[in-house]
Amino acid sequence: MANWICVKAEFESEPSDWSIVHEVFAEHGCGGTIECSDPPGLSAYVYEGADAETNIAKLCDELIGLGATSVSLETVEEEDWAESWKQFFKPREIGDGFIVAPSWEEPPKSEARTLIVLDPGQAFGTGDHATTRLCIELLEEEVGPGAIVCDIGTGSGILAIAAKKLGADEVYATEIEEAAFESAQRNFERNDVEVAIWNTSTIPEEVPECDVVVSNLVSAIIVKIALALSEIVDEGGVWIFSGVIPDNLPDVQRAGEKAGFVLHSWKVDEGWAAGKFVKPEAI
Amino acid sequence: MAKKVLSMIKLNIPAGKANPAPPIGPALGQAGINMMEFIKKFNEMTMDQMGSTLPVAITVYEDRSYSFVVKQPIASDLIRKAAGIEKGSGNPLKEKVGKLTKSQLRDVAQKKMADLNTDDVEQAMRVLAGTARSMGVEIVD
Repeated sequence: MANWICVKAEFESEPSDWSIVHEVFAEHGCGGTIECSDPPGLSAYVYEGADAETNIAKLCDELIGLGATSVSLETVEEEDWAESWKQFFKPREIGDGFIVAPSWEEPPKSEARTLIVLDPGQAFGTGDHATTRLCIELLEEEVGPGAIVCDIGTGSGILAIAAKKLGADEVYATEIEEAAFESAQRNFERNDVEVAIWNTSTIPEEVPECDVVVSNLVSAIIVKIALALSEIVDEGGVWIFSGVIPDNLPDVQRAGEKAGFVLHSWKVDEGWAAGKFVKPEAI
Repeated sequence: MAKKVLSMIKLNIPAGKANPAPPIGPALGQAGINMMEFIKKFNEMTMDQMGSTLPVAITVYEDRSYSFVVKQPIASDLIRKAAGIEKGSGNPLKEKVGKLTKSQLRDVAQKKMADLNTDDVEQAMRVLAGTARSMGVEIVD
């Protein structure tokens, strides 16, 4: 298991500006810093790789040179924080017909709702986030028996699983991050659904024309892939997008329209917008 | 009634590139807030500032809900951009790597003033001049 070393520099008084201390951490490969106030200090993490010892020794010297009164080191296991949020992931009802539950708890008994069991790992999508909830609500409107669906950037796989459980005949999924790709595969097995998934940033040739394509991403990527998605949405089909802050909706709309879609509708929940593009049928 | 604040987390992280690795993972995991949700929202909000390091203050409430404010890029970032340099000097006393005019310094100070807890632009300029000097950036008329 990978370890990280937390390096914490404490100072006698809080400087008006922490940026010089931050720069020193950044130069030693730290991806960010945390400010503390009592006592004033700045901390960051160094990955325990081959050069860690020399790197940390240099870092400590430089921090002392900047006036740090003490520099402390603490080893932190990667799993510590990966697990800590799980205690807050509880079964929850989503959309009209789903209940999403963590895989490490006894599944709740619900006759009225379809169960999705998840261990998202480090992937996105517990159903907790407004962007996922909005997508599930829109999938419930659009996906029925026989549908062909593709989920771009599936994360934990929650949307692909929901599509399959709504009766979709064929479900395809892509995921760019390897950890999320593996997590999605495990979640497909857990839920006993058959989904064809690729660890890729492009759209595989094998994906046929779909009735519904769903992409819960961020607006910049949605804008970028609009044209490519128009190739796989069947005429009369729907593209559900989510993960957009309302300020960026005009950009998404423009990109969708440029790719031949018509914005059908959109809604906002907790500061996030999701919507539906329709690909008009050729006359 | 206002929600009870459990803790306050202050991070300096790269715009548009937040991920579950440290420092975000441990800082947010310990606070019990939904890390992926924060990451997604932060990246979406800051995508257009890629390349900058942004201070973000996260307030965690008793029910584990949270709010956050993204501030102006850290002072050294703003100074680097204004001076047109890639990085500060490793030896600022002897090796100068760039210059900033007083008027440029004033522009940076005006941008960063609110984050420096002052409404006095001269005071903000003094703080930023100190940062600039520590980076080997000279202030000229």
